[in-house]
Parts: sequence; C-alpha cells; structure tokens
Amino acid sequence: MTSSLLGFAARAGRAAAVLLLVAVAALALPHLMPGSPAVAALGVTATPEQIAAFEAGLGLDRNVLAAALDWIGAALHGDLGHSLANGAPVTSELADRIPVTLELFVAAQLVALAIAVPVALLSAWRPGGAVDRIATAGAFVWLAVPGFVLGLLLIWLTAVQLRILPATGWTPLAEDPLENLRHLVLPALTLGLPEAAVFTRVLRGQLLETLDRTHIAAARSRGMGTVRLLLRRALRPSSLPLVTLIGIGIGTSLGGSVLVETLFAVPGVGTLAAGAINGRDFPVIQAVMVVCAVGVVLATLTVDLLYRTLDPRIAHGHR
Amino acid sequence: MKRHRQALSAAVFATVVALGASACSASDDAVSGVAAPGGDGPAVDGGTLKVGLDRPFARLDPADGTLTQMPVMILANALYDPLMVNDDNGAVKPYLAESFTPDTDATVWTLRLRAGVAFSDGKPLDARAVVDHVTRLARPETKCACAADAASISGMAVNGPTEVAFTLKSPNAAFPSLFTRALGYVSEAPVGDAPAIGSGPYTVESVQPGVSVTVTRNPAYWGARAHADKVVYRVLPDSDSRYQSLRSGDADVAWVETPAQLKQAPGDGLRTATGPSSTSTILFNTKAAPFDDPRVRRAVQYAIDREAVEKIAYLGQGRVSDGPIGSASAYRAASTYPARDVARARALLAEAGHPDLSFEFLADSRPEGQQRATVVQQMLGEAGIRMTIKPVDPAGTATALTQRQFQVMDFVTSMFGDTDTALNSLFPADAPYNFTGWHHPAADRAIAEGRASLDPAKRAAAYNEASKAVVEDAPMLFLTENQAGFAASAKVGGLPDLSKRTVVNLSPAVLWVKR
Repeated sequence: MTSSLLGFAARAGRAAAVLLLVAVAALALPHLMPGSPAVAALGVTATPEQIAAFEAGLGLDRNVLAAALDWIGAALHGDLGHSLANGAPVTSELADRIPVTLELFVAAQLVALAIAVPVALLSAWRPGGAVDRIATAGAFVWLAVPGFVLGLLLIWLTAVQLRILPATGWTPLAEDPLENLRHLVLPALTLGLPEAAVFTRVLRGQLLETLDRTHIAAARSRGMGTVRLLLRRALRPSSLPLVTLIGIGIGTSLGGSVLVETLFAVPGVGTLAAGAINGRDFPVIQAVMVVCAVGVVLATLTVDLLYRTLDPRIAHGHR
Repeated sequence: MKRHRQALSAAVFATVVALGASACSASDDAVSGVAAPGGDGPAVDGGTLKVGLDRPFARLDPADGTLTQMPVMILANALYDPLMVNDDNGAVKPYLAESFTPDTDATVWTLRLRAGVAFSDGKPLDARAVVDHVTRLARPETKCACAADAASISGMAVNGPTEVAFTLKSPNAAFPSLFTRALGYVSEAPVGDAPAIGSGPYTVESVQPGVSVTVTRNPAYWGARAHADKVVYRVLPDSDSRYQSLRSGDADVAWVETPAQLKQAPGDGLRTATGPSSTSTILFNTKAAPFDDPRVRRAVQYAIDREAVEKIAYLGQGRVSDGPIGSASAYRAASTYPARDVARARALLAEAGHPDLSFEFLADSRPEGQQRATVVQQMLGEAGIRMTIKPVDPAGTATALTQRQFQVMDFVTSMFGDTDTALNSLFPADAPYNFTGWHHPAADRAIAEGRASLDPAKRAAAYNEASKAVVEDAPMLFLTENQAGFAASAKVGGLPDLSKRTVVNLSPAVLWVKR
C-alpha cells in the first residue's frame, strides 16, 4: 500500500515537472516564433511606441521563467489571460471549446474501437484468412490516406453526392442532440478511421500472442466455444496496448483535431489553436499548449491506474 | 490605348459628378454591385441566407481589421452602412453621405449626410455621430489600422445636424475614398463585449466570436428592406470544404478565390460574382544590396513572363498586371511594362556585377503562394538567377514587411483596388506602407501633385507619371491581377455583377433565397 502511494506520488511529481517545463516552453514561444505578436495584433501601421507598450503588456520584456511562474500562479486561480484578438478571457474561450473537442475525441475513439475490435478478433481467429488479408490491406490504405483527403472524400460522398450529412458546421449537443450527431459523424469518422487501422493492427498482434498461450489451449481443450473464448479469455489481456494507444491518442488527436476541426468548421480547441497561431495570439496559444499538456498527463496517469485494474499482476510487480 | 483614354475620361468624370451629386437611393446598387439580370425572377422575401466566411472575425466592430477585408465585408455591410462606396472602375460614390465636397485646394472637405438616418438602437446617425466615430477609431487603443488615415485629419467641425467639415493636414483630392471601409462604417462604440451598433439593414441576434454570427432584419432600417429575414454567417476557413459546403447546400454564398474552384464552379451548378480583387506582386528590399541597384531589380523584371505566371498559377482566371494603376482604374493609361527578355536580364546582371545572382524569396506558405513562387523560380533559373524559396505564414509576413527583414518577397494585396490609396500608401519615401524602402523624388513629387489636384485629368497624368517611374525603377514587380469574389448556389437570387469592381464586396440585403 505504502509502495503504491509512493509510486503514485512519484508519478504525480514527474507530471508536475512536465507541466512546468511545458509552461516555460509555452511562455518562451513569443521569443522564439518568427513574426511579432505586436505587429500581428496592431497592424503594420503600429508605431514603435505602440509596439513597445504592447510587448510590455504581454510580458515579452521580462525573464521567461519569472513570467512562467506568474502565469502558472494566475492559471491556478483560473486566469489564463486575455485574447489579444478580441480581449476575451482565454479561460472562457477554452471552456466553450474543450467540450466540443472532447466530444469529437470520444466519438472518434468509439468509431475506432467499433471497427477495430471485431475486425481484429476475426483476423486473429483465422490468421492469413480472407478477413485477415482484407483487414491488413485495408489498414495500410487507411494509414496511407492523409486526414484532409479522407475528410474531403467523405464530404464529397455523403454531403455532396448523397446529401445525407452536413458538409461543415456544428450544432451544440445541448441545443439539438440529433443535429449534433449529424454534424459529429464526418469529423469523427475522419479522425477515427485511421485510428481504427492502428488499433486493428495492434490488437490483432496482441490477440495472436494471447491465443498462443497455454490457458487458451486449456480452455479450448475443455470445449469452450469460439466466441466465448475470444471475448472472455483473449480480448481482455490483449486490450492493454489499446488502453495505452487511447491515452497517447489524446495528445495525437489534439494535433489531428486542428486539421479536422478546420476542415469541418468544428468550433473546438483545434480551430481555436489554428486561429491563434495565424494571428500570433500568444495568450491563447500558451493556454492551449498547457491545457493540452495537462490532458495528456492526466490521460497517462489514468492509463497507469487502468493498467493496474485490467492486469493486477502489474500492481504486484509480477509482469 | 484609345479605349483606355475613353474609359479614363468617363470614369473620372463620373467620380467627380458622383462626389457632388445627390445621394443614391437606398436601393441603389452602390454597395451591392450592378443589379442582377432578370434571370432570377422576382425577388423573394423571407427565409434564411447562409453565408460561409473564409476567415474568423475577432470583433464585430469596424475598428477590427478583419471585418473590413473584402471577403468579410459581406458581414460588415449587414451591420453598417458606409459613408462612401467603391463603385465600378474604382469610382467613389456617396452612400450614407449625400455629398462629400472639397474646397478649392482639397484641404477642407464638407460631408453632408442623409437626413433621418438612425442607428439600430434608435439614436440618430448625425454629424456628431460621425465625428465621434472617427475620433474613436483614431485613438491608438482602438487598434484600428485606419488610424493612419485618420491621422491625416487635423480637425473636424460639426456645422449642423447633417454636416461635418474635415480639415486636413495636407491637400488630398481623394479624401472621400478613406470613408469606404472602417472610417466610413459609422458606428456607436461597443459597450463591453457587445458588438458595435450600426445603421445597417441587419442587427446582431447572436454571435460566437470566430465561429458564427446570426443577424436579423433591422425593422427600423432607413433604406430598402432586406430580402432574407435572417443571415447566418459561419466561419469555414478551409477553402475546399467551404466550396463543398456550397455544393451540398450547407452554405448559400461563400467567398472563393482559388483559381481551380472559380474555373470549376459553373460546371458544379454554382454562380459566381467576381472582380479583380487582388494583385500579385514582388517586393524588393531597395535598402540593401544587391537590390539597391535598379539594374538588378530590372534584371529580375525582365526574367519573368507574367503571362506564363497567370496561366500556370491562376489557370487563365485573371490577367497580367501592368503596374500600380489597375486595369479597372479610372486613371489607367497605356502599359509601359516590359515584356520578358532573358538576354536583357543577363546583360543587366553582368553590367551590375552580379552575373551569378542568388537570393532568398519569402513566399506565402499557402499552396497558391508556393506555386507562384515555383513558377518564378523556374523562370529566373533560365536567366541564371538562383532563387531560394522560404515559406512564411501571414504573421511572419507582416513582421518581415514592417521590419524590412527580406531580400525579395511575394506580396499579394487588394490595395491597388483604390489607386489613390495604393500610390500614396506604398511608394512615397514617408508612406506608411513603403515596405521596399524605395526613394524616388520625382515619383514622390508626381504622387503628391496627383493627390493635391482636384482636376481629374491632371491627377491622372501625375499618377501615370508616378506609375511609369515605379515600373521603370522596379522597387516592386507586378505579376497578375487576380479574380476573386462570391460563389452562390442556384437557389440564391440577386447575385450582382461585380466584374468592374476593384473592391469586391456586396450587401447580403440584396440577395434572396428562392423557395
């Protein structure tokens, strides 16, 4: 018990250190990126005095570490600064956007799992069979297609040709759940299909390894049915890498969501980040970076805890 | 040449008459463009018009630079009425103003407003409101790019409920053109996060900054009633999905500037209303070697085939640019721009002592910018010039321009839609946008003379003299005039003809949705 607590404390300490480093890096961004935030915000006719005053207001004339510590102090009180573009509090901008991106992320994972689990089970049950060969070829195709190409193909097929789904836009869940679902389908498919390919390949490999184990052979010899054997005995121990992938996916999905949200005009963190980067809206960029880092760190910690639940041997150091 | 002269005379005459003429009616097509041909059938009132914007807006305030950019003026025109408008061939006409007339030396301008116009909150839009608006936008804290324009005003006097006298620091015969965008969109100051209040045909119903805005018809609008009950604007930043949204019916009208899409639109059942909205140019840093030598700049000029750039990068949708006076400008005279001559380019480089010229070219990071740069790179290669392309994003572009951190740079601008503003802002040594650092006393004198002259013929002559100097000394190279504008689905009626507009924009009030 004590060792578990110590282990958790160590992880939490590492997470805090990572977040501090990310915050410092985020605060150093205005010094590193090409393009003056003052010129981007004030326009090319800004006077040198206006630019100097603006940069002082942004803290660009201060030590990065001191500015980062001040920023973290304010952030812990819920103050992430104000957008340079519209003067709005960054906290409220993020509060509007995070639920949208989270919904998209969850939907994409559901799409990926709904495809990957059955396909991987069928592939692993008959390796080299027709399903396995088609799934393998299909996975490589999905992995090779860039997200924006896949998104445009889906728009062309479902919105332009079949006219069954909207091409772009967003309806909040609270406003109209059905319309929300209709707007969610294409971006979730665009994010989820390539992930399904990865999930399928990883789960298939893990299943093949599991199905080779003695406890599976024993279960078979006792006459356990195929479906029961796959779902009850093979799937759970094989699913650990999927949990890792979903945890890592929170970080990679945020990268992908910039593209997918821009393509489908989804008002999430991705479009907020893209607009902020184009306009050199540093308070927003910094907040998005740190909030994303917090998301990844929390996901990693959650995955650690889930591992212990899914495979108790890890908790007892037997694996 | 004869055609140009005729167009010049007619358009300049129209400009002068318009400035002093009685105001156009509210249904006038000055903001919206020339009325659509009758093929759309009778106008239909009601319904919701869905507009796709190509970029996010930060604030619904004329002081916000995004709101007064051409692609977003379809939103600005819903909420605000401009005092003056850019009509066909660059002519500036009164809209919310009744007249805008100068004294004898163009130093004092008298603006007469329409009587009886009110903001959407019922307060009068009178002379005091105009002065308050200009004063607000001139303040540094408002962060309006128009502050530089407002700084040319030394005083404003309210001479009655509908009359304002502007006294300028120096004569400016084109002063009314400063009131076609931000300074002209008369507004009440926004309170807190609320949008600014205007007098336009629509008022804001709801807004999510950077994402969408819904406007509803202004019941107390002074002019012609808008057709659609509501207009929903959504930010669709990706050009491909924006175009597909038009095809799928998720948007009724959207800004389109990609040459391939403009070419493809009729085949996809879309209609377009476009005009020469921007000019592709190349800037030299004339303050640093080797481009402080006009012979080197001329060599690059001679090495570029503008027709080929137009055909390859713009798929024949635009036309070549001949200099700072655009093809639709009333001041347009015969072209003096040199044709491609690779041998001459090589000779000039040898004469200047740079036979193996190489330089870095900052290019727009978007696909069109990269394609344009690649075409130029290949052409220069044929003249023995080695050009390295460095992509930059919009914010990086702004810094490079203002701090002159470039050797040679891609520059696509809509500024040449207004010849007076372009010449006065880009080329004089002390001009706010003299990015090249060019200094040419004769051109400065010609531009100042044109700016101060109320005689259209004299102004045209002076501007053409300056234009000739710009082309000959080549601080900036001119490549193409590019078409851009609006594409609309077949169910939209009232789409105007914008082909002669140098500032391409329209009002949503003139569009209707067929049932």
